[in-house]
Amino acid sequence: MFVTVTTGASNIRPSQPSSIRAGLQRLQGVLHLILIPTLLLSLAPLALLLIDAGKTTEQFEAHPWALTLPYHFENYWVMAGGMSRYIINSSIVSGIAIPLALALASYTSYVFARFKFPGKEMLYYAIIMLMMIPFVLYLVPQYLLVLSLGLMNTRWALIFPYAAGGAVFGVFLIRPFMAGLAEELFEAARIDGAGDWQVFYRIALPLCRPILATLMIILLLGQWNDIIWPSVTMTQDKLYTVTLGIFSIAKSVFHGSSLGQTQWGFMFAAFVISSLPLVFVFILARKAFIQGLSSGALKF
Amino acid sequence: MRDIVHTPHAGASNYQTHSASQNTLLQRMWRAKRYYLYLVPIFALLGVFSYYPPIMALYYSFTNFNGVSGKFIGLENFSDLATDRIFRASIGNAIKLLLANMVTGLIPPLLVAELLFSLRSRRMGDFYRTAFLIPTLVPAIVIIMTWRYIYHARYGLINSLLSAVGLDFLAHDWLGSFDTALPALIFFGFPWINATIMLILLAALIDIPRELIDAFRLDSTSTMQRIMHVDLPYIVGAIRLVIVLNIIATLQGFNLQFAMTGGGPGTATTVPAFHMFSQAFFSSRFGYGSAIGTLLFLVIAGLTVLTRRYLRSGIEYEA
Repeated sequence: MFVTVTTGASNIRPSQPSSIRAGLQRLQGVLHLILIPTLLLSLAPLALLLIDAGKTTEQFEAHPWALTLPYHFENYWVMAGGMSRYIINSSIVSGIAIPLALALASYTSYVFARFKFPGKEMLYYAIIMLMMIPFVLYLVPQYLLVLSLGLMNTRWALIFPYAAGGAVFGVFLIRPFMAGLAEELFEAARIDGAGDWQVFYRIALPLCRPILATLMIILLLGQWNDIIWPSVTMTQDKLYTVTLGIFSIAKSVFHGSSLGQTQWGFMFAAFVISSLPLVFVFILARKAFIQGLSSGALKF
Repeated sequence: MRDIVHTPHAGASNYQTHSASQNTLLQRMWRAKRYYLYLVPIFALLGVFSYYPPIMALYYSFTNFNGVSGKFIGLENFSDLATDRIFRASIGNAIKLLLANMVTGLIPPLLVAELLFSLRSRRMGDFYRTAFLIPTLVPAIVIIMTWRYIYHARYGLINSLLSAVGLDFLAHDWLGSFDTALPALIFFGFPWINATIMLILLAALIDIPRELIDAFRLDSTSTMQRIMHVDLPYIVGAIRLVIVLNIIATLQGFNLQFAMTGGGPGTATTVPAFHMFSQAFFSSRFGYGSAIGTLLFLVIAGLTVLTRRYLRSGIEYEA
């Protein structure tokens, strides 16, 4: 496939390794010289959050962007109560939507990957095809649907669409994985008299754990970062997700309403708190996280 | 085992055509009935929340539905769009954003991916990879709000920095002025290292056969030449994917408009997707909004197909 690219590569000159090594060494230094500033710039906004989260009004007014001492950790305590409610709301939604999506996607993938029946591929593509439809086409009709089903201002308005979207992407991701599992395992289980469900639950599901973890992270990131859909379906503060909570806190600070014009420190403290859950997940499941991030692209 | 329907010539297409085997299609479907039963739950959920909405979107596009009532008005929404001043402005903005994001959404992540790929030390590579994805752990809305603060006219970081170096006269209400609002949205996220995209490109680079890279290195060809002649042709598939992702994200995304600028000042930063949103949700013009959604869907589908067709791998050609 790429043979043409390698032409001329075979005549390796053996007399050069030392100079190459020196060159590579120099190159390595240059790499860090570019990477480190880029990294620092990428992280700068986050450092800004941490710096400003510890400011009183006076400190902020005087030095809005430099570190000021003393650092007021109590700002975090002030915001912790409100933020924890938003975090719980988001967790409830994801805590139902993601298992639902995983269960539907894994069982459906199992059926598609391990059995043969008329129309199977057609049904499979009927599901996969849904990934081609962009969110913009969904926004208006899904809102009207949720409205007519009476789901407005209930968590189901988020859970059902998230579960449906997650199940579609899940089938796409899990079916090939399920199909790649060794048939002998399944055969052995069936000979032992296990039914379809038992084979799925005892054999297929445990083997699929890595891909399920990846899928979980992808869905979690998507739901956690969703701004538009919660903002049209959730209008009561007690149901706000993390994103909506942050948005309403920030709006009131930027426009100077309820929280008062000068509570910037509190706002940034809330920003920091809102990041903790995903940091926690990342620490627990670093590998699945990185995998999830990079395979999120498989969608298209 | 005996439950599996065996056909000597397995394959979906064979089922639809007449059967050479002794069983009719219906008989085989009847015998496989429980597999269909297994699929009922997912199709029940998708039926309501995944199939029904887009169909309704197409239908609403031809009505003046306002949330309560509406009637069929044919192509009126689409002809109204042609003369909609805001919509026309939003298309101009979308094209500018699309062109800018082609660069900012691909080049910086590609550069960092190449740099990480060239790193010798595995430990340093791991460190950078992890460090670059830290911003992904922060909710998108927080990043957006932080940038809104960076651009803030009074407290913003940019204006503070400018006055610190004595360039007060350059200070600006970056998001509030017509001429700087759209550039400010483009500059958002600088240095634009999207971890997802960087990881995709890095994964593609790591996939290049080692011998190929080593051969070029030993040939003491310059790194630049290697990148041009080996890396880029080899990862064209990943690059194409990134471009498609960027196109889709730019055309359907409006988080920045929603949380930062409200599409303004005036029409300075509005995009078609945001126009759809505001027409539907601020003016209850759901039919009109759906028409914009339908158009966007067609444009996204068209551009995706075009990218797939015209940005082909150099390797694919040579093979």
